[in-house]
Amino acid sequence: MATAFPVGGRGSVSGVGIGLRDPHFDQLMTEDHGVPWLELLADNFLAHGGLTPRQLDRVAQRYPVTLHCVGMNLGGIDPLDKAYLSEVRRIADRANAAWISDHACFTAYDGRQYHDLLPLPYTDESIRHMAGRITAVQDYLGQGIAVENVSAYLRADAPLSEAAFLAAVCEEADCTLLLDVNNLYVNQVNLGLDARRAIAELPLDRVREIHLAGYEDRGDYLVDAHNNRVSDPVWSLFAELIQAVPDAPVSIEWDKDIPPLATLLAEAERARTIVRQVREVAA
Amino acid sequence: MITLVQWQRSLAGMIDADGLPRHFLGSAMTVPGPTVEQGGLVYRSSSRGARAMALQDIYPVCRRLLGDRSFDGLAREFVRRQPSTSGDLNRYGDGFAGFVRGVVDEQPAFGGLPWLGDLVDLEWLFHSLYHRDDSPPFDPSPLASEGAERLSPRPASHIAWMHSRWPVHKIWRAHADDADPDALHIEPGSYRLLCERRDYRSVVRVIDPVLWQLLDVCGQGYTLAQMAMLDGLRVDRLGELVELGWIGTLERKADDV
Repeated sequence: MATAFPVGGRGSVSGVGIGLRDPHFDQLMTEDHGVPWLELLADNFLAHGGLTPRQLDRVAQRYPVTLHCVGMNLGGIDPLDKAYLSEVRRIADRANAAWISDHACFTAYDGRQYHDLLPLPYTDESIRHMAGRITAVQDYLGQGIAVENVSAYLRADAPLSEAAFLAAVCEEADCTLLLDVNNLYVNQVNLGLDARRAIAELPLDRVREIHLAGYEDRGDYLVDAHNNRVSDPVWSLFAELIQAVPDAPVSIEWDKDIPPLATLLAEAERARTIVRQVREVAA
Repeated sequence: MITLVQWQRSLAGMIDADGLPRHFLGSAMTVPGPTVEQGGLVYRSSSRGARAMALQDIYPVCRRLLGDRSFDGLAREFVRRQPSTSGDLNRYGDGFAGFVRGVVDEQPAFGGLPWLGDLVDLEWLFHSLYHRDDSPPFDPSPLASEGAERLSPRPASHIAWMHSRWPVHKIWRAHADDADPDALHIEPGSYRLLCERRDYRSVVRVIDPVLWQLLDVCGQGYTLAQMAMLDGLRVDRLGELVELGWIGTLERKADDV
């Protein structure tokens, strides 16, 4: 069913959106699926020419969007990549992105890029270091960013909890939080970090967005593979979290073994139902 | 307590290293889920897997031709040797052709594929063209204000060219377009190829050697005056390149310091 969509823009992101993935592009551009907003991966839109910028324009004309990044290397030691940041700013401006986000991790070391979200030690040194870089990034971009908690498979021998670490970073950098509920649960299983306690410790007044995704169960541990439906324990955590932040926009992520769009829409509808039920109870 | 630098050096080194990451044991806590070895291997597998996946995306015809298993084995070995230096994964993999040529030279199993390196080159050109800037419309106005010794015709950004002793364009088409690879006759020769991004797709064709040579000289940054001095170069056909849309700009040479 073809229909006119509202034009997107800063500040118009609310409800349960989904992450845009290439196999769903045509469907989302030609049919109305009731998706209120899309999260774009900045790294998929770095090309200046050809089809990519036109696709970006089409998406932005049809949907409110946010911009999610994986390359800022916010916790890294290497100098900030100003060329990458410049690209992020260009894409965000072109798409009129409501906000920009990246992860509380490092992705490069000594000039080598690892294309993965590598964990940091939860120390005061890391807090000062990453908060300083987030501040520099926010100055460069001319806007605040949201920082996402990452899943992990190793934990440095360090004194702080992940939640205390993130709370301090957000406070010191005055940034917002992209809270990934699946990552909290993966870290509970993998690292023994209690997810409910983490939610209690985190600065929920700074939550700009919530992520939901599915993990891969490897038996002894979980991998944040984004290749599955959201698990029941994560839905339970989400239902508890949403009581504290009922208006936070939510995004469903799916990056590997990407299913038909209908599967993502069903996950989004389930999240929407939980939010609605929580609001009804609160009212 | 470990410092930020020590931790990052250890974790990065563990991803780059071969074998089990036992040296990492002292830096990480014992946790309920993965052992330190398992955790390290998750990161190594994920990081290397992202790069290998990029190669699969960039070289689909090469993968189809070699088979998934052979190609993925080559990709894994290339990834092990070749770090990524750009956050943009689209830039990873331009050295793959050289690596493949080395494999073809060294391993008898690949001896019947002397053209494989050139095919990889062609796929890289396709990939890089897809991500290049759009070419602005050609502007001839500098001709009115600058002399030939100060103007360099530069190729448009949406084209690339290569020379091969093998008909890699035919090999590519036979495997990319579900044609019949068995009907392909691979004869050595001299193939001057032009790749062009057209309507958001990359196409390849053999072009007139005279135009190819002219384009190649333009790509090297010669001025119009310098081109006129080259023996055998048909500068009089430069207008054809402009009409074909293969010349993007007339670049003004900077003043001598």
